[in-house]
Amino acid sequence: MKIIPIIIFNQVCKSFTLNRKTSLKWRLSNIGHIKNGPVKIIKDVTFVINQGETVGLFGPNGSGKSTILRLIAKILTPDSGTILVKGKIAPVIELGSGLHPELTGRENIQLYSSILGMSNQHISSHIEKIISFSELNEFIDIPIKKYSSGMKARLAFSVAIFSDASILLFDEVFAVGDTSFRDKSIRILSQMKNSRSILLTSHDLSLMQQVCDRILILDKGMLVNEQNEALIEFISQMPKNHTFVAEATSNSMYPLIKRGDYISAKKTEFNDIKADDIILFYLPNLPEIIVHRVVDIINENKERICITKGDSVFGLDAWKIHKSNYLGKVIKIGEKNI
Amino acid sequence: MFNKHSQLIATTVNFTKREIKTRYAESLFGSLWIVIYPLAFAVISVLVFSFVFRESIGNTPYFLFVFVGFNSWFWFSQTVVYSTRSLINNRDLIINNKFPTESIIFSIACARIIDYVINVIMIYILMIIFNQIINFNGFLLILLISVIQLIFQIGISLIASVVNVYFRDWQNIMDILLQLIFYATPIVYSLDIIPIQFRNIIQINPMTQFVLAYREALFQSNISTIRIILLTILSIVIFVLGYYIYKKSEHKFAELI
Repeated sequence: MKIIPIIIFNQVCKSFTLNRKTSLKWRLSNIGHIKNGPVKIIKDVTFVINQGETVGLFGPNGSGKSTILRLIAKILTPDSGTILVKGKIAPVIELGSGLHPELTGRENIQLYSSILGMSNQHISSHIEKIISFSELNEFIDIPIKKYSSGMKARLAFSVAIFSDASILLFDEVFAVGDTSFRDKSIRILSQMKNSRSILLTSHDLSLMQQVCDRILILDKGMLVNEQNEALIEFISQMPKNHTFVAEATSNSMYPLIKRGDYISAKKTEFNDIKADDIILFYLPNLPEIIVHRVVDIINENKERICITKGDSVFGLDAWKIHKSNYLGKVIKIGEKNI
Repeated sequence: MFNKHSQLIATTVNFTKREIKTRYAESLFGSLWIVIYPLAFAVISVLVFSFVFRESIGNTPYFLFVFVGFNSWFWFSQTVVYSTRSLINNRDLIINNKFPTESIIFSIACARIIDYVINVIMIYILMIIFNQIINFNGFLLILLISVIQLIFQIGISLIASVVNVYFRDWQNIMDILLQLIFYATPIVYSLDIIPIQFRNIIQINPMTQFVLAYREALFQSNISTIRIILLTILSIVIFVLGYYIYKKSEHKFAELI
């Protein structure tokens, strides 16, 4: 397939003045000494998304994920850098922000569709599909203030899915709604993969693994470098029992390993790994090497597989690690260079 | 091709529906409030001011005289008050969606047209009750002046809503300002009771000109063409200026709200 760039995000910076006070009292009492200078939320971020790609944006709270989506949607304007977008965008940044509680489900479909920029013809020809996908047929003519939050999310998501936009931006859309609807949503997202470009954010890395072709990791407003293939190649070719040192860049093993800690890892045999070991591994569409604890070892199709999880309270779902993804076992953890 | 203009129309229509449907959704009398409100104020004015003023002004009964003033005034003040707060009230919508946000302001103005039209019908009912002569030319003039006032107050609303985004005290200041303008508009009194030296100040107020124009159209045969022309020019200038200011500052809204 030909590669056509759809979103070009080039060296974009964006700052916000937090705690901006707009009242007269504050302005008068602070003449001359304004505190709270602007805070840089997005620092020199560059990436390209091509036609038909599904890209995930991962990062902790406050790392600038939603800001990037708002910048792409032109809700916000960048301080510097350029953002080029080819095609119509449907931004779903907060599910349900375009809905009104007093209106019925059907009226809300009309309202939200027009906010997403759909023509009346498009709305009327798709409204039945939207209703049946949302599975809200029997509730569609009652005010949505009677809906549960999951139902509202389903309604908003269904409208966005059937919009005529070629670019969909989803911010944490899978956080609400039950599993069956989530699975259905993931299925429809992969069905329309070729006709649309999708950028989605989530806290759930394993879900993003399932849906996305590529994952961008955002940390404190900076894009963490995309996977260094050469480095992974280098580690995998190290001789057995060789040790190497790495710096932790996330808190997924908190409190055992904190961001900035150094870990010493040893290349061991994959078959020697026991439960409760801490191992290093990589996955093809993740830019970073992951450190997780082995919680179980299973056999699947006569292959040994490690089930791993992070220690952190934000515990992500368990991951299945094959021999080919394994890099090494953590043998020592220290605060300074070891 | 579905362009920006059609999206503006589509969102305005949908927001207007939302506005109408939700305004009186929870109150007992529902949409009856549209008529009760100016009627009540006219009754209060009669009770309070009948000691001060004659029972009728010219050939017009005082109650009718006041009701016409209040109808125009409420249409103006409510459109402006609701518009001013509307961007802040729709914060979630604005920071999470990309759409022509001025449709929020337009929808408030559109929803208020319904109230206004109902009360214009009420005026004609009152005119029949008070045995007034109704002429068709006067009715056409009312339509014309109403369109001019609509353009005028949308312009003012656009400016007021932008100011409120930058400067949140504005909505409170404006409430006071509107009270002042109310008293500087001959709604409960007629212009000729004002001492000649103050009359100019009252005359500068565009709302005075609107109210005078309505009364002329309804109760008198002669109508000042120059007033209509000046109001038209003023309204168009205010609207264009308001739209320009709005469009110039729109890209900042998501950050400042």
